[in-house]
Amino acid sequence: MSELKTLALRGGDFAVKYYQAGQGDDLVFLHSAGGLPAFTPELAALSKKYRVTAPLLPGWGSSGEQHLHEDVQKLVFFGWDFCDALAIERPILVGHSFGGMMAAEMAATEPRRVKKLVLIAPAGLYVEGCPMFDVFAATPAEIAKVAFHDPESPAAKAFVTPPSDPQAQIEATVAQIRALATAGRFLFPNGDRGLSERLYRIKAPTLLLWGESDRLIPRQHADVFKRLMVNAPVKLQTISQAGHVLFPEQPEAAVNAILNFCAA
Amino acid sequence: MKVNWFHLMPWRFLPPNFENEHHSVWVDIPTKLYDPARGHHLYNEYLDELEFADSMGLDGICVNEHHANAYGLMPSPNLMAAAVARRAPHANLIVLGNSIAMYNPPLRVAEEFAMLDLISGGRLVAGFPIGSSPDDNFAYGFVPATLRERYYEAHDFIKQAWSSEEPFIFNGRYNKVRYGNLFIRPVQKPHPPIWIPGGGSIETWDWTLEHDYVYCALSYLGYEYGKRVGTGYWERAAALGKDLNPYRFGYLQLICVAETDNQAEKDYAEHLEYFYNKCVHIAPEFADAPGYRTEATVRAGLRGGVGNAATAFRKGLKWKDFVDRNYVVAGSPATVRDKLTWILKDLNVGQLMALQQIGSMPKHLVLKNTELFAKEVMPSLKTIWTEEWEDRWSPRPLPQNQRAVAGQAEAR
Repeated sequence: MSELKTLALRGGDFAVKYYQAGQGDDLVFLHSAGGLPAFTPELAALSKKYRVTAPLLPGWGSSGEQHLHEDVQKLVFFGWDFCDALAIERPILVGHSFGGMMAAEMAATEPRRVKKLVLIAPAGLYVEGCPMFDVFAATPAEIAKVAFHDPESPAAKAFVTPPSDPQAQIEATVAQIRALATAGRFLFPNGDRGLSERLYRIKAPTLLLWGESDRLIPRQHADVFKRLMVNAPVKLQTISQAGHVLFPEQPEAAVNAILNFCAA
Repeated sequence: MKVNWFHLMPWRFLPPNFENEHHSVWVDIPTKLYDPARGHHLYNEYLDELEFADSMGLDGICVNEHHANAYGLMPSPNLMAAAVARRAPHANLIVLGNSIAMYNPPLRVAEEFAMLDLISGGRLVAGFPIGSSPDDNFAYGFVPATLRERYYEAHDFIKQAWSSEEPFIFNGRYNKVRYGNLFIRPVQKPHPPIWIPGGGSIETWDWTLEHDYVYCALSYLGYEYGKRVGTGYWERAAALGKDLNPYRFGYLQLICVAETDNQAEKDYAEHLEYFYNKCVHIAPEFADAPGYRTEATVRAGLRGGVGNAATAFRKGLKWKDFVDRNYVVAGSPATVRDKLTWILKDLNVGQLMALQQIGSMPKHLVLKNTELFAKEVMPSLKTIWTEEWEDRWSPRPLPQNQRAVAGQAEAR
């Protein structure tokens, strides 16, 4: 089990919490708008092979999101500043959903610094006819309905069940609003901040990993990512019986897909 | 007490089962429910009503901004203020207001407000709302989490445009102008009074007080909401060492006056039910985009157990509920006078905004409601506070004899 560590970036503008465990090549994991409630079993599995570093992004447990304004470049600089602070030179970058968008932006900005890129149902594109689900105008129950392959599964139920303690409930609600507010800095209202015009810069071998029944960011987005990443070898892999939140639904398949790709 | 007359300009012709058949009155309402042929007459009807309020001696007439909204048909309140400025020559023009975060550049607001102040001879109140989440975020696409910094920047820009004697450079985060230059100058010096319509967010109270502006509590929940906001606002005023001058505080109240209490119910019940069941049938997911409210306000709201205001309306309330809960002050002139006097004194209000066209209310009832109010209720309200307090926040127009008269205007 990995404990949270902390570091300060940019003179303290950002107080960053992060997990770090394992040995080997660096793998940096960027979480989704759902945040990172713990060093999950999936990250633990990856850390058997790699040194896994997983920051809580500002707005999700780390502070300073107001300094990002709504500027993608500031988010990218945050990501690379974080790597620099930990002397992570050329990581495998893995990002899920919001984190996938951020990983793609980081890779487009510093194409030579990314060894491999794993984009798990990344956000960041507007695709005509199948826009990403509007998470900013939805209740948790509505989000669960589109995020999970099986909205009746225990994982989905846990997602929509608030804590029983009233104080914890307030904190959970505040945290949830803060997370979506921060995601909204870069995804509101249509999920598009111009990434489509930057994807050509990515050079790292890339795995696009998508749940077959993703209704939050439809599968069509994968095809557009692949089509626009003209300078990177891209492998598209889908996982059956999985929605947008791949890990709780198909942990083994998702972890194996990443490990196999990274080892290849 | 200043007694002002507020118009929301609702669409009066929503279908009977609207609230059950449609998702929301705001943001994604189907455009097929609008009819331009009727819309032409409706705008003119509503402009007639604003002009009637002016002729009845109301201190001000108020218009506001909404988008994709069937209870507020004024995407541009400035157009409406301009449309009545010449035919309503007495009342203050209270534009509550322009959602300044969304104007690019905000110089546009400085210009249009200067124009309104000039056309009206200095009768303008400049309202600067941050804007609602349905309007700013969902209808106009602005990022919720940065709306407030856009708002403060726009405010600074407009103030600078009004006050700067020469061209200036504005170099904000969101607005950059090399030659900021408001050649047309507002009549009022240094600028028209600024009023802030707010939704009860804590930071806005402090900011409004620090800038010495009027804070306006605009809601459809009457005293219930007014008490909560008023209490918080006056506590902050005291904490910041400000005087408790009631003219710092504006308050909107739905008002229905008839010959008797019973007649009021006969005349107005149907239109209030239309208002509370249809006009404020707002989908909760559009009420409040994540990041629109600050974390402090979210916490305060949660701690106070205050749910989403939009959902409170979905309960099929009837006339008696509206009256008992003081959402509306209704009845005979005596009833309305007594209750309003109590509310306004209790909340320490100096700027009343009377909402008298409500929901589907047709013109003849609007005129009746307004005339009875103006003649039988307003005179006694206007005497409240005049002994103890000075209104430092209302327009200072040119003297009547120096103002242009429509039809006879000529510059010399």
